[in-house]
Amino acid sequence: MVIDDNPMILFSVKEGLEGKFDSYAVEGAEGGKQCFELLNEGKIPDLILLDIMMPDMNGWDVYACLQDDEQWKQIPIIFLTAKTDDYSKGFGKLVCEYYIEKPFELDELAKRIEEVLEKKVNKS
Amino acid sequence: MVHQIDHIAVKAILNVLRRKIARRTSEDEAIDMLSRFILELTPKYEFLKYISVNQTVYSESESIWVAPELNEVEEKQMLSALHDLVRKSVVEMKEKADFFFIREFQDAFEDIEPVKKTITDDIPLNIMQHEYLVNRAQTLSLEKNQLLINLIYVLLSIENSYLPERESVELMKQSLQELLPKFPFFYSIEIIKNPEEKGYYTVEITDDVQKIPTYQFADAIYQLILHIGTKLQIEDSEEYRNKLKYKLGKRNTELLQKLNVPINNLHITTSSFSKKDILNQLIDSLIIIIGERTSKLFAVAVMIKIMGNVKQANTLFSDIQIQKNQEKYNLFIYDTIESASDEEFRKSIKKLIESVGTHLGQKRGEFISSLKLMLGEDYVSTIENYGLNFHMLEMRFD
Repeated sequence: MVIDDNPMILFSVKEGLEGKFDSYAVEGAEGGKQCFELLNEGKIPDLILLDIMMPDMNGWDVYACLQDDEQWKQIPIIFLTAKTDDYSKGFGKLVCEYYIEKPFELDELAKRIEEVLEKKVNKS
Repeated sequence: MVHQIDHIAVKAILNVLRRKIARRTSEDEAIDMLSRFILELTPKYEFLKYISVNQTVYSESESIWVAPELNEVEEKQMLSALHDLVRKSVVEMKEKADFFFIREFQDAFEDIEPVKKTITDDIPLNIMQHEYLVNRAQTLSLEKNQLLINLIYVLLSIENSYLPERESVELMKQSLQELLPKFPFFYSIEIIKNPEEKGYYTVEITDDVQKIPTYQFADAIYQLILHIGTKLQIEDSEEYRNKLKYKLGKRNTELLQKLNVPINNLHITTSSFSKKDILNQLIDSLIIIIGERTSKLFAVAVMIKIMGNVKQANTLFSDIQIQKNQEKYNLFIYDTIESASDEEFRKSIKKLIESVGTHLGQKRGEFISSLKLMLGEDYVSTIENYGLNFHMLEMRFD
């Protein structure tokens, strides 16, 4: 699942990843509210790509709310953000698998996703 | 002429140097210093006329201006000038340009290619750093023993203004004993009553303390000063600092500063906080600091996660629970925490702070400063009494 208020990012990540990997199905959410609607519908993703600077509910709060649910808190997070200051990176890295700064290369993102998913499989 | 280091890179290097000097002095002083160095070096390197360093009201980073004409200068010459400039800064700043100054300067270029390579290969910062360490080690190795003896005499004399001589000596012996688990070399300190002269004590060090790593020696000295101040229940920290400096004299005070003993920031607290109070204050402070830069909800979630991680390595954290309560949180610390040994408590606090600061890169030193501010002097001093030296932590993080 990719959570970003920018429709262009949602579109390019979904198209890019699904085009690159046949087995991938990318669900897009334009913000925290839509993300939780999808989760409540039982659409539990293998991984979440999470933007930070979003209106209404920022990525920090989305992460925090994901921790309230035993199943959701197991979902690995990759922050995908234009927030590049040392504090955001430093504190973000305490909880996420990767902290990827925008603009990003699709290949780099795909590589990181594969690593995280592989790690998840090995863990289970 | 193709340059690895062009006028833009030179500006970046000068800005890093300005920031590192300013961190130890002030922004104005850093600019004055650099401006003067450029002027002093211009007769040797005429091309430095293309660099101008001035105070500006607009922006600190724009106080340095480098003309593109500099790109016409032979790179080897440019590097030599930069080398002289860095060296001049180190020499001028004396003890303020500690080991960390050169390392920080070098680290600042980690992400800037090709500047990093040039800085590493062509400006021998490592050699400068080594020279600095050797010079300092030579000075200190000659005087560590004597410095420790002098300090103990001074502390005894301060104690003696509050207590009779015999009790002063007993208090010192007791303090050394209490600090012994952390600083085993205190075992070699002997305070002997001279039978020849009534009421006259001499301090001797039976072992050679030169081999003690300098950072550990400095930490030991700081802890001893703090310990005695706390035992004496000093209420006026400034008076204690001034007494210490006055009695130690200029030479010994300078040595303490060279060792990075934060004597000027020494604060003695008369507050008696429990371990539970300290952890409450520490966790609240960490949540505020993280929350200010992210969000409050996130900060709480991070602390819960960190607690979960450190719990595995340190059972003391099993006595702490953070529960998120909508926009707020509840912190439960069980009374059993009071039975933890001081050493275990110190290690736990250190682990917690390091865990939060672990990915902060160059902001780690700043993070410790913010934490000290948020904790408040009394809590910082109480935590330091457990043997955690914030100054050392800050320097190491930097």
